[in-house]
Amino acid sequence: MLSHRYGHRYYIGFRGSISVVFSSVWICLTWMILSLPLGAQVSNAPKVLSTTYLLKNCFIVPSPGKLLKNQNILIKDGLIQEVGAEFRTPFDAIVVQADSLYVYAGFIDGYSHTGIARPDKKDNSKKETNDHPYHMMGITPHMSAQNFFRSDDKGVAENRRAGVTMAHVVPRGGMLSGKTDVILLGQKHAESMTVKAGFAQHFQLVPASGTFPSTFIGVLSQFQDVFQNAALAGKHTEMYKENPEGMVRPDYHNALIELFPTTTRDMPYIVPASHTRDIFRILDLQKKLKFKLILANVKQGWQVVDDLKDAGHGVLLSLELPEIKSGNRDSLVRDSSSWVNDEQLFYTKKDSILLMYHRQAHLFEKAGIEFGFSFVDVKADKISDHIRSMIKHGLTPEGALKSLTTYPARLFGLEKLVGSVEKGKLAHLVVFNKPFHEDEAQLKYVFLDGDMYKYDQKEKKQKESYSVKKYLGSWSYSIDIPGDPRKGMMDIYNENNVYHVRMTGDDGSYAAVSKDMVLEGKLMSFSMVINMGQDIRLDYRLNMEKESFKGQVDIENIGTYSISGTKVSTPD
Amino acid sequence: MVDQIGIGHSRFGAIKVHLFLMWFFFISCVISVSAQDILIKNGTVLTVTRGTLTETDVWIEKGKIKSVGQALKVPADAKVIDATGLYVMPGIIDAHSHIALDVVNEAASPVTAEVSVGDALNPFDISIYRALAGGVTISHAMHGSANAIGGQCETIKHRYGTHDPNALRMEGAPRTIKFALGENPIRVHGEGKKIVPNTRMGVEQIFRESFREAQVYMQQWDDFRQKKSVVPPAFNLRLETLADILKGDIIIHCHSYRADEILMLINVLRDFGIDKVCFQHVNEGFKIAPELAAFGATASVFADWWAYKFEVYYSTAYNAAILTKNGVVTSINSDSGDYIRHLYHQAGKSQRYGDLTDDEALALITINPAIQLGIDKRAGSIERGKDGDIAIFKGHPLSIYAIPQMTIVDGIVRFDINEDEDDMRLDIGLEEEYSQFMEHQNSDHESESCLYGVTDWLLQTYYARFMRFKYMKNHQH
Repeated sequence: MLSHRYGHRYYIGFRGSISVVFSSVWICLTWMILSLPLGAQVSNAPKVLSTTYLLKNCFIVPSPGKLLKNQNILIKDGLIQEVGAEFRTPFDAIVVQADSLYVYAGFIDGYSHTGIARPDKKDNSKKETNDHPYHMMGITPHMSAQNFFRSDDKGVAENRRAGVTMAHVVPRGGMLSGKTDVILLGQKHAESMTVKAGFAQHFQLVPASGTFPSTFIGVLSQFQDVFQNAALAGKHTEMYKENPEGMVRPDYHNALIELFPTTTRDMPYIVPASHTRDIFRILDLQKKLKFKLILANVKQGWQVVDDLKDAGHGVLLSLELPEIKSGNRDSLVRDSSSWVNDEQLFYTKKDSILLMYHRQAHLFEKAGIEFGFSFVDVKADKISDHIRSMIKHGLTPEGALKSLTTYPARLFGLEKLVGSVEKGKLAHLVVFNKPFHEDEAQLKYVFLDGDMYKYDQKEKKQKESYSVKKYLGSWSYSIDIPGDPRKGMMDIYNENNVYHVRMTGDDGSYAAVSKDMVLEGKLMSFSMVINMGQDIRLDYRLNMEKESFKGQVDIENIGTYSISGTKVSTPD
Repeated sequence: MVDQIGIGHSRFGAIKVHLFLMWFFFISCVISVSAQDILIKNGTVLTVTRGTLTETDVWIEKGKIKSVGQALKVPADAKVIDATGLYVMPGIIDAHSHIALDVVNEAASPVTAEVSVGDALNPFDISIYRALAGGVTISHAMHGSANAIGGQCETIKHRYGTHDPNALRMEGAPRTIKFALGENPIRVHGEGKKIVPNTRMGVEQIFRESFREAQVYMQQWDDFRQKKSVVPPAFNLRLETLADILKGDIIIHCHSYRADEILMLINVLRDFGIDKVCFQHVNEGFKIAPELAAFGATASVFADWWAYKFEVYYSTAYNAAILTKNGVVTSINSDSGDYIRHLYHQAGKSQRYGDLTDDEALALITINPAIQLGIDKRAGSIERGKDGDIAIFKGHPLSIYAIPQMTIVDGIVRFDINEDEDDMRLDIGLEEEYSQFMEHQNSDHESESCLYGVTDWLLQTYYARFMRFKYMKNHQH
């Protein structure tokens, strides 16, 4: 969808030169831009004459825990040609003044579906007529992530913007969804950006629909069945190759042939296991079948630290963390003190558990278990927040950087190509204005596969805040729910340089504060969560005028209603 | 741990930090306990197999019962529990339960012998703690009754406090598997999917076909192993498991009600040379008690629960007593996360309906289920060398006034009525909110229950008005 937005931008750009009469021509043009092949997508990296870059006078963190000052880096042909304090500037180099900027190796996503769109629901219902039963069960080990990866998927740009230059992409699907590929998050075809193809087989506790296995215990038993048969079929095929005389011909069974290398430990399984029980279940299975294992998307791993310590499995901790949201609970108005006391006890206990998710990385580091990160469940704009939170809860910045760079590079057998800033390595660099883990750190440049991506967050933010400023103050609002109109006050305010919207019901029944408020032109959109026994999400889209607004609000599972309001007061 | 406490918590200030510490302290206590020497002193010991011993001590060392006798001399560092005036009985065993499981039924096929609910153990299930609070130390976590041949079951020890699902397994307990007769497999597969079995006859054929297939499979592998064939046959975990039943390595626990079908299964098993079977529910067992005894089949029944579907009408509360008097090894089970907490009441009913002796009644929830699960050498009575699984009661456990005081599993105190916090959960899901308990009460069935009106009474705050708003909205659309 992002490409659509870029298309739109061009639309505005061209508008002046194209008369309204030719709007039909223009629609064709838009369509053409949108349907151009991958390599020619409109990108935020300006097309330039040279792909030789010189970063001047920067700080380099060549590998975790090290720092070099006053350095220059020369990038050519997508490689780091030179690193040093003094060297000659080639005539064709684009010079990037990087004074006081910090250069790191690009971050590596250890496990995600980046670049692979969610399948449409329609596709799900489409069943092939002569399916092999394995296919119905979600056993498709001959598929690979490359088959589905598209560099114009919005996730690719979003993750790149968070400093991720390379991702270990796993195919979506059923229990054995296919082979994984390590792919660069640039803008070319999947094939030309694949650094390692067929790195692992992806196994997950995902049941089939409408057939066996319909539960994860069925998946676990079916896996054992397939695994044993892959080993047997592999041996059979080998024997047959040696001397087929008098021997029953082996089936050419795609799935079993693809899985054979996993039975000889030549290819690992990557298995997502978020919660304690799942991790134990997968470890149990591994003990039975002895396959090579990478545990991915680990969320409650603090309870298995001892079991993982010397097990030698690959470990990828989830970058998704639950929000510890004591604040939201203030929005409830209560009048029974004993009730509140019980509630305090509950949330104290719950918060102490939530805290463990944030401490997980620290506990792994403390136990000496190396790990990378799974980006699969985290929203790209939360990546840096979550890394900071892990660091606040005890993870060392060096440890965090290892997990983002050197560890995954080694896990995927790519340590000679990526993971550090050295002469001869791929020029996958991320450039921050401060050390990457500091609160004010902002990504300024990403160098990836010969391209430079420039990000200027500061200006954008200022621009945005300038326009929100016009709407600061108190507004009255009413939501037209048929038969049950809701009225109240809406306050738009600034707290710690972040703009918020607070909605308060007239009857005092609730008050809630917005998350992720965005202003695009006059369209202000934000969401909030109100606890009405369970969390209910409200999405607002308001067209702001100077003294009034009109818009819509989506109440989760209830419906969409129109909302309008007028300004009551402006802050002093 | 202390250095982490201040972070992100300001709302409740000092109280919160204090509570946080307390909770962590508590949980770490639960987790870090290990078997220690325990002397249960001067209680009335209901051994079940060797009568009742008054003013007797039970000494547990390294998780096993070291000795039973009067005024035992034990090491000075042993934990002493004064059981004066209390009753000490073997940990209660439930031969049919579904607690501590994330999945109960793999209903996608009428035969699912290859699956195992042992893969779905959930050590965080609060039901384990509730069972402990009723003196239950071992339960038989069973697959459901959707399939004629269901999945394998798991005999678990209630080691509440562990996070490792495997730590719940009773290591060394024989393998067991769920079979089911009658309405359930017919409804799920015949009526639901229009496949066999759609009748009770079909259920029988499922068994016969499956066992025959397993015989062929065994033969194929035997031929391969004896080098009669070069190419290994395909591996089939389902047939492997069925072959293990034929070899006598797995005990069948069969969901059953009607006498005719129970005899049918006995005939099938006789034809295939299988003799290890326990009939579950077996509401019409009283009609065929001599036949069950003759085959060596055992029976696990409800005390007085029936008429919840057509095939369960012909029932009697005398079932347990009639089976017992006819020499069938009989147990009373819960099949419920609620009943499991008062199985001692269920056992007591056999004295009202059938005049069983104390030992006979207690055997229904101790040594007899142990026999049915093949663990009677390790559990089910208080005898030297058995596992240190003990339940201590105030009042005789068969009395309606009995109150469990303490439950010990493998020499570790897992329940103590004096250290029974309000919230004993080991984990709280990310989505769980404080209010959920009350919402669960707000069900459509409230008017039929003793809680009628409770919700309205609770819904008197502003907070509650919002719940009502949500409720009405949900019910309008």
